[in-house]
Amino acid sequence: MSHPELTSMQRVLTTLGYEEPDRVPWFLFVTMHGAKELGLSIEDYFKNGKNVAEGQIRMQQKYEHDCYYNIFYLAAEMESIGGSVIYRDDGPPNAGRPMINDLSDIEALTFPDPSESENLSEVLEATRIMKEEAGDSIPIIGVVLSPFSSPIIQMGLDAYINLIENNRKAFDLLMSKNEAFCAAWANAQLNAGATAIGYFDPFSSNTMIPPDLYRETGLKVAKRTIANINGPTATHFASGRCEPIIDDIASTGTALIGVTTHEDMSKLKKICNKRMSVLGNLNGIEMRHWTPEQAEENVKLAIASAAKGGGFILSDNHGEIPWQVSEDVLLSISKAVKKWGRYPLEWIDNE
Amino acid sequence: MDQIFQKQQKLKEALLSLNRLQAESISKRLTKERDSLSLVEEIFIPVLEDIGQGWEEGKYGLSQVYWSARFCEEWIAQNLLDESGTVTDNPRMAIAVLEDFHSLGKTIVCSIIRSAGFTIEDFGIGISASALVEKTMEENIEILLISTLMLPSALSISEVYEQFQQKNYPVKLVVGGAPFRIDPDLVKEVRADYIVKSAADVIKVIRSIIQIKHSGT
Repeated sequence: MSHPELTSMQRVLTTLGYEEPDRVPWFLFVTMHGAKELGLSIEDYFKNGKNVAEGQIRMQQKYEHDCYYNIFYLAAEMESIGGSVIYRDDGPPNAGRPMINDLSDIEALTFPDPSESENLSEVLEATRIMKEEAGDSIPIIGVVLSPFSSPIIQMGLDAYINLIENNRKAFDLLMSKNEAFCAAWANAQLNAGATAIGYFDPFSSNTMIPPDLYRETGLKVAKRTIANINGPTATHFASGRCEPIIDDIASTGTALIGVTTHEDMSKLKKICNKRMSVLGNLNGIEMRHWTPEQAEENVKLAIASAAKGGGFILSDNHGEIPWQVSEDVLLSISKAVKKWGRYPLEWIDNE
Repeated sequence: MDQIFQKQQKLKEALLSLNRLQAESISKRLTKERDSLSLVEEIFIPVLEDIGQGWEEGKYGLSQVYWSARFCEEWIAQNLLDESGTVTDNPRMAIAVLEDFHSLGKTIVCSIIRSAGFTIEDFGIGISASALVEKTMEENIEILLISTLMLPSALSISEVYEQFQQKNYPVKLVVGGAPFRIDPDLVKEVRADYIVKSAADVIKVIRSIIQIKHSGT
């Protein structure tokens, strides 16, 4: 039996309710590609929220995916507290040198009100424009870098690991400051029109720290922070593994988890057992040189592994499509989702 | 069970649990029992390689790899430096983080290389392709290790390769970092000679380069 055509919002909500919508929803996490759409440099594109909103709207019309994505670049949060950002013409703006160099820098750390911050207010402006365009038909995904993972760019990973080992008091202080900002930043995006918040937490993944250390640190931070975010969240580990901590992640109250290509999405979905939906896991880096046939095959593999019964959104594995991925590949993915993503997915049983 | 294996396991457990006191106590005992060379070759390096392999397989976290490598480097520097600090056949090596500022991979690799008794120059983080090529040539480097986290930085290794080609400078390029783990074909794309996927690989790669150099192939 075929399903009636749904809006993107209905499609996503249906799958998050563990039911099958009309077709597999897919989130195309394109950011910099909007600059190509508008014929601007990456730096000029991200200077203005109107550009980003226009880029997102045009890209959604072109690829027909099921969301707008309001993030400019992750380093924007550090930029808002005085950190440097390095622009390049072939990739996302990248955080410059760490700005926390000793304990006094942690004590002195202060965050702006997002609505008064020069760069974050542009993200909010972009979100408001997207909301005017989308109404209730297309979800807008906002993004925060988790308080537990922010120190990777605030102070550098080596220094951060040393801090966790040697100075829990300073770690706790840094977490309390980051948590307050993270919740405020997430809520500002929700107030501007974001539907849900992507809680990017790569440092909590098993690729970065062992499960016991996560339970002592990142899990507690996530529980406190997510409780203070006034909307649904999706936890993303940006290509990090998470299988051994699935039960813990479910206890944070998050609705969705991002899955890496290094893990079996089908297995993870079973472990989630309708406590969380899964999001993933097309290989964004390999995608750069996919042929249309490879794009189709990879979409089919992902759908076959986790789409039956709902509780699944197709996306890349990292949360950002690299600049080097061509429009042709993205159009091939779009075409494949429409061809193979139509429920009830009977083809899976026949192949 | 083999005695060496048991000793390796004890040290590995202490390192994985980030237990400095226990790791120091085991290392102290081992230092009394063995000469420096066998301690490094039969205990420290195999344990670091085993932990690196475990990370590659998803069993351990990168924080454990980092902490273990730093501990071994510091222990060797403080306790064995006079005896095992140098390898007689040490090629001129350097390491850098190309264009971005994520230094953890470089720190881990440096620690493991130094733990094995080699010396390596650290060219730092956030270095451009041109500056890296210039510095490599100035210092007569034979093996250049490049660490990257971001995909655009990894792709810039092609530029490093091309500049060396233009200047006709012979150097072995050894690369590592997240993009290379996600896309195994990337190493060919940037025309590097070797990839280090984890801490388990680095000493093997360096020794292999030395061996090939000596065999003249």
